[in-house]
Amino acid sequence: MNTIFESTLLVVDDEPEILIMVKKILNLAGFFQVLTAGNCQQAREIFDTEQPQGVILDVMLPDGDGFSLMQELRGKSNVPMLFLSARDEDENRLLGLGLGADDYITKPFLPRELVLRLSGILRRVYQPVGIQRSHDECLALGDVKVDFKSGVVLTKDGEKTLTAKEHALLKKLWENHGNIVTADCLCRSAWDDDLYGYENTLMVHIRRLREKIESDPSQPRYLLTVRGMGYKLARETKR
Amino acid sequence: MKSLRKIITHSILLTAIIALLLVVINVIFTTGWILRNSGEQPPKYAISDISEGLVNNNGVYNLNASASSLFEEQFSWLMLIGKDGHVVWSQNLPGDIPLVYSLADISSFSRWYLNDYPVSVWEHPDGLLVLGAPKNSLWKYNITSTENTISHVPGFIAGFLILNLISALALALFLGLWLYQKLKPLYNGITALPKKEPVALSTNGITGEIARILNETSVILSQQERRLADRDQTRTEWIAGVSHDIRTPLSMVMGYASELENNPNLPASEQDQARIIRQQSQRIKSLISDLNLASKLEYDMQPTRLTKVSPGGLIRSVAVDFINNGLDAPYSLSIDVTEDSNSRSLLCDEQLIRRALTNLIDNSILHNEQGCAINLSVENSLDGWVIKVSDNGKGYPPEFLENSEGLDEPLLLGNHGLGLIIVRRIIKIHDGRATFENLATGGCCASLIFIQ
Repeated sequence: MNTIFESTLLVVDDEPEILIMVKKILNLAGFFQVLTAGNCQQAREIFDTEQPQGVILDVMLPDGDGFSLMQELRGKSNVPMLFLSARDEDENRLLGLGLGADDYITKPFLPRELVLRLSGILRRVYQPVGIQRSHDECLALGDVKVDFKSGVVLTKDGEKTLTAKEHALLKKLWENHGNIVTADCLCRSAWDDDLYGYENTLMVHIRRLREKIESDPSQPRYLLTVRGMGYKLARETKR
Repeated sequence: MKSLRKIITHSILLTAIIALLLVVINVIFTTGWILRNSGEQPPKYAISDISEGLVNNNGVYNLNASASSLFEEQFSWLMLIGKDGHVVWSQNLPGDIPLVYSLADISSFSRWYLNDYPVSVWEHPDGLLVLGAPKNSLWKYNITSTENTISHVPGFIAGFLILNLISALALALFLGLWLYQKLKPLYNGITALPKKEPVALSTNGITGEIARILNETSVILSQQERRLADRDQTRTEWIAGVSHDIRTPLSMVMGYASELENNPNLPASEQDQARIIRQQSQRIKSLISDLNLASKLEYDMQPTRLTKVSPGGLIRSVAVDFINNGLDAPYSLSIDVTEDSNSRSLLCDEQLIRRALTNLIDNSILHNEQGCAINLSVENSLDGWVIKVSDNGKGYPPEFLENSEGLDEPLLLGNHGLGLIIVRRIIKIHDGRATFENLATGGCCASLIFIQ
């Protein structure tokens, strides 16, 4: 499989109209091999014969429930499965995710949301490992490059080593680049603890990080402070 | 149990006071009676005066006027017994009174009665003066006591009073305890009623009838409780069922509208109409979700998971979610937190509080189309933590503020409806309170007060 769009997908729902619509949405998004099943029995048969690479399941089915069906299918294969259900109670979502579902989307849903979430899961599972790694381990901030694997910052003046905490903080910011990461979240990543008592320590670490990655640490361009909330790695950074 | 003890203690004290009061009244009455009676001249002085008034004038006895009047006041007859035992002079002497007396006779009647006439005697220079009162007019008694006994009389009286007091207190205590034992099961029964615990008291004894009524009340209450719970559950399940059933058709509306909105083959005006359908469907989706949550909160069907969270961290996270999800101009979001709010000091259901804050921010956005600056703050007041969501927009409509203090507010308050009702329900299940106000500087402020 070269791209995720080549994957065969199985959609299980007792509403024929929903099946038609989801199939159309997926086709429009570029997934052309979409199979549908209206009940557990059909789903089992298609799963065994066609061996799909991804499954979208409803929770309420005429001859059983989606949770049991997912457990049964999980016993045969580890392909990504996500729930698409009208049941929005936290207990149901937690049960589905707890049983090993890759995601839980509640109806009504936006077609784009379904496609994005499904693509994300398929990409994580089926994207060639080598490509992912090179994506994951190198960050470019203008002239500065950060190699997460070796934990060094490469600048035109030479190499600077990141400490373990700086590494953890920068990685968390990079994973959410373009978004604000709260100070609480950064503390949990670096110290596995709450912010309380670490306020100044966090500020000191951020200042040291800026000294390593910013050309002018007092006027940061990439690692920005969002007053009262946390920090943000500017979106203009490129992977 | 404290209040029952209080009642019993008061009852004991009251009984003791009543008993003491009775003793005091008795003492006062008796003393008063004695003093009143002692005001009359004692008979013995009258007798001596009469004796002195009986004068012997050469063998002729004569009772002077004052002695005569004293005699008539108290006695009906008199006689003077000479030294030889013979009656030497008499006045009004009844026929059944002998005229000769031996020493034994005199000794006998001087203390008691003479032929059932109560008599008094007094010495006279010529013998013994005997004064008789009519039969059955006086009661005579004699007290013989040792000196020792008499000297202890004041002590005896004091002891008697103290004994009375102790007895009164002991009896009151005994009665109080007895009453306490009898009332205790009733008290337990009554206190169990508001806690919705079943009451099955023994229906014997003097409190049996009240116990029986309490038992019956408990059965009626538990039946009502069950019926109400059933009805609430049916209503919640019905709303959940309807919400569930609406979701599937709404999925189609939203899904196809979204596809049409992005269909390049359609003219822009139709794409725009599809966008409106999609947006309104999303609004229906959030309304259904709100309705479902509101009914669960209303009827206590929403399970709560209480954990200690950092209030500062919580509002930071909510604000950041909004900003990261694309909150843009003309809206802005800022926060104010104190350093102590970063500690895990607020016990709450984090997801529900997050929902309440999201509703409040959504409300500010929804009702200020021209944009506004929203501020989230947290502070530790005397009551406990207070989280405030304020904006500088157009504020709450007056009718909302009028209704916001009421407990039985209508389920929908215009466009401000369900979102804020959910906020109030959420804070209510945290035993806190929510207040809504318009600010003098413009805009409004909702405060979630967590009472600790």
